[in-house]
Amino acid sequence: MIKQYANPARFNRLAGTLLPWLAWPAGLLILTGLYFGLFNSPPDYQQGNTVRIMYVHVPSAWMALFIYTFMAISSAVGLIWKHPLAHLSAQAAAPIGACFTFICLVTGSLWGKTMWGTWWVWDARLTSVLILFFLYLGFIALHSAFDNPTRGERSAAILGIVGIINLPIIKFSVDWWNTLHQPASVLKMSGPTIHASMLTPLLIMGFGFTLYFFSLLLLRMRTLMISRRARAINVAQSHRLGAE
Amino acid sequence: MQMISNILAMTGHEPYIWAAYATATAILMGLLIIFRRQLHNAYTKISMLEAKSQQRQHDRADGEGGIT
Repeated sequence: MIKQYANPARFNRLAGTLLPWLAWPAGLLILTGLYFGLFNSPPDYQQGNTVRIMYVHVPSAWMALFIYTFMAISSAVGLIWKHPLAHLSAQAAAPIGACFTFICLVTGSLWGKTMWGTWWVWDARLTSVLILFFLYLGFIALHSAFDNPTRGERSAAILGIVGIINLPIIKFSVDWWNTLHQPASVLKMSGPTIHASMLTPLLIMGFGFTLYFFSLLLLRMRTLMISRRARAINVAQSHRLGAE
Repeated sequence: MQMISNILAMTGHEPYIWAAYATATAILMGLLIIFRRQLHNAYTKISMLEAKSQQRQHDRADGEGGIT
């Protein structure tokens, strides 16, 4: 069933229909989350208003991990089942994931400066997220490093799959090693330890960022598909000219 | 009004908090703008290529018609 959307025209139609249904709710959710986070949630009893950085930092970190998982699964589907859209979706997701990881690093650094008194420490959580950022950059670079696009896709897909080992390291780094970073307070087996007045804007921002990611993904996939078609027309024309 | 000014002041940490929000907004909006522009450019390129390709086919058909 998914294979029928490998047809560019059909995919374009579907993406065109889905985009407004993703983008508008994404915008609304993010604005609502910002309102709750900035105006309708209390300051932390220890951190004061600085805790408000959490409403962009934590959802960005979730997205950085989610997008990498999405990218690795797409890469595996592309390698194993050779679905034409799989590599394309991984390629489209990579820059978005890199941007969310960058936001996570920058906002974390700003939060760290106010709470720990330093912009950066080489502890397990921060270092493993920095490695995730480099994995994204490596994936993007590998894609365009070969003249043959199929070889670029395959090499990047292998890096994407191998790099997934970093995700449990990021998640459990705060439990396995002594770090300055606080342990998980939302995604815990025993349930969230964060108050509902802070959890609500956090979850709203998380959903908003997820919908925003899918909107950007569809936009980027459409662009990549059209660029591929343009490349194919160019190649066909140059072959025809050569034959003449 | 008092609540808004309290939020804007952020008890002395305002540069860090607003810098975090500004960075996130700039990057996320920047991505949207870049992707939309790239899509627009790709559409322009493909329509030019398709028009050129059709023109070439017409020219070839006219040429063949002329010879026969």
